[in-house]
Amino acid sequence: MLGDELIVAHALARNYGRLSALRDASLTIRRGESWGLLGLNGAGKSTLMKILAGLLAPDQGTVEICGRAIGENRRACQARLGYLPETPPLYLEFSVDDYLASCARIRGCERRRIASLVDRAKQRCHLTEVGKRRIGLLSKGYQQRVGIAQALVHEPEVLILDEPTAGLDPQQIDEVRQLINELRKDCALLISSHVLQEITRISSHVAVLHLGEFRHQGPSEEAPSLEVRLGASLDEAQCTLLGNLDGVIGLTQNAQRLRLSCQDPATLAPRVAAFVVQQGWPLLELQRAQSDLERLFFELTGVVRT
Amino acid sequence: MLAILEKELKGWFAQPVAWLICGFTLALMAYQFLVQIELFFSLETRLKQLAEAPGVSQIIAVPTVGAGAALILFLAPLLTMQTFAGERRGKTFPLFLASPVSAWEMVLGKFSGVLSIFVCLWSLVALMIATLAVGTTLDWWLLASALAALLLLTMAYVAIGIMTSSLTSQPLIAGISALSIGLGLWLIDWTPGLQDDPGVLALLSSATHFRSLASGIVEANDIIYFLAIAIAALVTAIWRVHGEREVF
Repeated sequence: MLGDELIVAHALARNYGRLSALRDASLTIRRGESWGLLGLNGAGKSTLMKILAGLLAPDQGTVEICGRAIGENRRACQARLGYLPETPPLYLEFSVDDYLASCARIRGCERRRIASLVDRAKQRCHLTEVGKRRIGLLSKGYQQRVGIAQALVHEPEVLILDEPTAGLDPQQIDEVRQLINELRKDCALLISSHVLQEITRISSHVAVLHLGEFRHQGPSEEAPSLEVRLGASLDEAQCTLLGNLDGVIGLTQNAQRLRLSCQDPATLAPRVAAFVVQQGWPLLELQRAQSDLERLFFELTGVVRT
Repeated sequence: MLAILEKELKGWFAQPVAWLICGFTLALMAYQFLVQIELFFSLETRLKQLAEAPGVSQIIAVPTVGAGAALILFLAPLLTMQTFAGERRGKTFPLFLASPVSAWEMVLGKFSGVLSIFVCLWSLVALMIATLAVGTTLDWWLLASALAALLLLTMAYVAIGIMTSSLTSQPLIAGISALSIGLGLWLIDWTPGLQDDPGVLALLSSATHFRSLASGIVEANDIIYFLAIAIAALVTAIWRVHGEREVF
C-alpha cells in the first residue's frame, strides 16, 4: 500500500569530487519491514543512510519519508525518523536518563511525555538498571545500546541504524535482533552491516550495495537447501522418489546437480545420503547449498566458498 | 532552542571543570573586590579633602566590574571552544543534524547556554558589590551601567567564541582563534598615539567602548558596537552550521 511506504528513495546519486559514492540507487521500505543494507567498507552504505536521514543532499534523486519529500519538509521528516550514526553520538559526562531526555527534547517531544518515553526506550534496550549511571562509565556494548535508545526514544516511524551491532557480543546481538523484530511492527527500519550472517538474522529484507550501486534487493529468508552432485542424471521417476523423501520441500535438477529445499539441512543430509546409496546412485558430493544472496555476497567480497 | 539550551547547561554542570572555572572566577572577583575595598580605606582620609572626590562606586564597584572584563577575554574562549568544535570532534554533531532543529536554533541555543553561565556569575558579582549598600550609598546608575557594559562585552566575546568554534573541528584552534580576535580588539586601544588622535582604530577597540559605558556614559554607539560584533559573529556561525547540514 502507498500509505505504508515510509522510505522511498528514487534514483539517488552522490559524488565526492570525482568519486562516485552512490549511483542510481532506489529503495522502498514499507511499514513492518526491516531492511539490511549490506556492503563492504566504502560501498556507499553510510552515504545512503546520511542522505535518507537528511544529513547529506544527493546530487540527483529524491527521498520521501512518511510520504513527504525530505528536501521540502526536512523538519517534519526528521521529527519522524531516528538515526544512529556509525559512531553513537554520546555525551560521556551525561547519565543515561539525562542523555535520553535531552535527545527526546531535541526531537521536539513534549516535556510531560519525556519521562515515560525515556523509560520505554530504556526498557526496550535493556538499559533500565543503568539509567542513573554516567555513559562514560558503561561498557562498549551498553554504550551501543544507549546509541540505539537515542534513535528510538521519540518513537519514530522510520529508523536508520548504521552498524547497530558493532561491538556487541553474540547475546547482545540476539537482543538487538529481538528489539528490531519488535520495532518493525510499527516502523520501517534500515540497518547496515558488512556481516552477512548478522544482517540475514536481523532483517526481513536485504539490499546489497557494491561500489555505490544496488546489486540485489529482496527477502532475506530463503528456504535452506542441500546440493547433491551425482555421477549421472536422474530420470523423472527417480526425481519423484527423492522428492518424496520426508523433509524435502522442493527439488530442482540441473544436469547431474540436484537442489533439495528443506527446513533443516542438517537432519536431511544423512537421510539423503543413505537413500542415494540405497538406490545405487553414484553420490559425488552432498553439501548445504549457498543461497543466491550468499553467492552474490561472496562473489563481491572475493571470498571463495567450496 | 530551549532544548539545546537545557542540554548545554546540563552538559556544563555535569563536568567538574565547569564548577572549577566558576569557582575560580568568583574567587578572583572576590579577591579583586577586597583589594578595591582595601584601596578605598587607604585613600579615605585623602578623599575627604577633595571637593568632588570619587565615591565607593567609582573606587570599588567599577574596577571590580573591570576585572570581570579582563577575565572575559580568557573565559569566553575557554567556555565556547567546545560548543561546535567539541561536537564535531566527539562525533556527536549528527545528533543535531539528524534532528528537527535549525542552524539558528543550534547556534542561539549554544550561545544562550554559555551566556547563562556568565549571567549567573555576573549576578553573583553584582550581589557582592550590592552588599556595600549596607554600609554606604551606592551610585546605582553607575553600577547598572558598568554591569550592562560587562554583559554587552560578554555577549560579543561569547559570540566570537561560538563563531570560531563553528569554523573548526579542533577546540584548541577555536579557543586560540577566539582569544586572538578578542585580545586584538581589546588591545587596539594600546596603539601608540591613539589617545591623542582617536580615529577609526579607536572605534574598533572594545576597551574604549567598554570604558565609556562602564564609567556611566551611556551612548548608542557603544551599545551598537557590541551588538554588531555579537550579531555578525552569530550570523557567521549560523551560516557555517547551516552549510554543515547540506540543503536538498
